[in-house]
Amino acid sequence: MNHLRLVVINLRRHRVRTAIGVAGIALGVAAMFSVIAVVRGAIGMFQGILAHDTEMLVFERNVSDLFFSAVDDEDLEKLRAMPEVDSALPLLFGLVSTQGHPVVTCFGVSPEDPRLDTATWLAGDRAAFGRREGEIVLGARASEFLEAGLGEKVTIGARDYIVGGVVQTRNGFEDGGVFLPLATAREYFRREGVSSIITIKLRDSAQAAAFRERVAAEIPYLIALENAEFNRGYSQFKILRATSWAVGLAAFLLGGLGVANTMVLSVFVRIRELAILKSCGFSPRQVASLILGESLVVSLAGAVLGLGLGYAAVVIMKHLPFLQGYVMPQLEWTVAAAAVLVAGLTGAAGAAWPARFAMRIETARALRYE
Amino acid sequence: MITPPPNNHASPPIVSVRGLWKSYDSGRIRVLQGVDLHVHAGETVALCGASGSGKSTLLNILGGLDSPDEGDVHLDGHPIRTPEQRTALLRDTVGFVFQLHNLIPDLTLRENCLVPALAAGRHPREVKTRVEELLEATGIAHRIDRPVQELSGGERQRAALCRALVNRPRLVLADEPTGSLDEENGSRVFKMLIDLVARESATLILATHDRSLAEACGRLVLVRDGRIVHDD
Ligand SMILES: Nc1ncnc2c1ncn2[C@@H]1O[C@H](COP(=O)(O)OP(=O)(O)OP(=O)(O)O)[C@@H](O)[C@H]1O
Ligand SMILES: [Mg+2]
Repeated sequence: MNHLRLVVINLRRHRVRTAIGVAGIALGVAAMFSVIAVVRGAIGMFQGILAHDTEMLVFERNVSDLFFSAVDDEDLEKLRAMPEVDSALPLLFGLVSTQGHPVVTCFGVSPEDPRLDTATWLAGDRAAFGRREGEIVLGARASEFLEAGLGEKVTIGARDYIVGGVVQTRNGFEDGGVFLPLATAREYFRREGVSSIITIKLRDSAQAAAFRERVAAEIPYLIALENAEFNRGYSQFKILRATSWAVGLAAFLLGGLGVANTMVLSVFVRIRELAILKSCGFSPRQVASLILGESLVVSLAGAVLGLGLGYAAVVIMKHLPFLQGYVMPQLEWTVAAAAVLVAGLTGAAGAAWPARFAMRIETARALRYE
Repeated sequence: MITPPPNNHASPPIVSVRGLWKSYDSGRIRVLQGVDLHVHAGETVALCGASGSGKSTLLNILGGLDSPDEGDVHLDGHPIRTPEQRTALLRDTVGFVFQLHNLIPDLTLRENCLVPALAAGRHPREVKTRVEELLEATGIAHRIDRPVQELSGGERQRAALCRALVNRPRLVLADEPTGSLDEENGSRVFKMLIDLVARESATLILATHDRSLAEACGRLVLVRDGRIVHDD
């Protein structure tokens, strides 16, 4: 017999109510967990595209989206000539819609791009990339949904190309995308002589600051950022993260209201019982701790269940054909711990008013009523 | 029979009140109107009076369940004024028995008896034998691990008696403890109460309508309209 026993009997008395309270928190946690996992996965994938064994990114200053950035070839050469730079590779992004597929991401890459080296070539010849007119390479998933294999004709936007290869990468965006030789991409998107971003490999990573200053001084319309800096500052990532937290917290808030409701009922239907405890010497604080304990049990049970649900949801999404590759679940302990912590705080907040009410029950008056 | 109260008035009374006033409904219902009462250790006091005369109210205030508008409760000569002091009084000194058993449903008999120990922060192991002895003495030990809703009315009231006594209170306050029982059960429970209180050398203040119960107590206090009109 201890305080927990008093908490548990009350939870058991009202199983349905308890279950609803737990479910509210569980759904909140699951929503938060899966949204954050998906968004982090997506951001991670996009970062993977940008940072392929490179340390820095150069793009046009003050663009809100990298797809709108334009770096002139002239300046690419200037970058290559800078003493800090080991290699500088251009990347041109483009989006097309093609029958039945509103958004297909296109990557214009130079033939020596290392991402083509690290990819697994399911079909086609790595060495031939960019050599044959009208040939492009599909990501594995793009090859599936565009229903085109090696040597076959594929329509990208308004043009027809021949599939020169199919590559499997570990990145969902790349897997669902199309690799075009830079020249082909520039022609298609009418962006002759420009790239969206330049990925930079430095001779020495300690020279990042010096390189950044040099770029700012010599090519003022461009900005050079270290990958980590970019990740923190890129507005699209910020929006995604903020959205995921907002959605997650809103879900939590609803769960929290569920717990608050559970706790209000829990106190109101047993005012007399709480008064009995007081008549046996329970202090207001001990009574409050029962209410708080009850709420925490509900919230933490909900959190554990919610993490399980969220995990399951993410795993299912990972395997859903139409989402395949785009969801790269990142099950981070920090997110799990944050979810449990927020659930605990939600539970405590939901119990605050009921606990206060319970503390103030007038014992003699409450015992008078049946 | 009951031993007469020790007239050892050299020591301060275990509990006393002077000039106690209590009203409800912002003064519209005057319940206690200047009550003086001093009870010494070992006494058994019966509070008698008509329904609504204020017996329960007085008992509640004496035990710290309620607070007076005016006048102080003194325990061993020290005033009890704050909510914290009232909680401590309930926890450390007083055992309450009510007309309704006021047991907590879904807990077993044993667990119900452990509630005051829990309040006092004592480990169940410390009071295990104590609980068993009390249940033995009241004849319900065989029901120890059953949920209390399985007990009969008389058994429940005995259970309430055991719970009140677990922490060895010096002051037992009983508000019509047999009021909800038939005569036979009532007198059995009453006898147990009197015996246990005597065995524990506790002090008993009992509110009752029942003259025969009152006469079994060492001292009779008559309450009328919130005043003590007779005390011997
Ligand atoms: N919380 C309250 N609010 C309003 N009136 C109250 C309250 N508590 C008690 N009273 C009133 O105070 C008066 C005294 O009540 P009390 O319960 O002390 O009487 P009693 O002597 O114990 O009566 P009984 O023998 O019927 O138990 C009654 O008129 C009752 O209605
Ligand atoms: Mg009464």
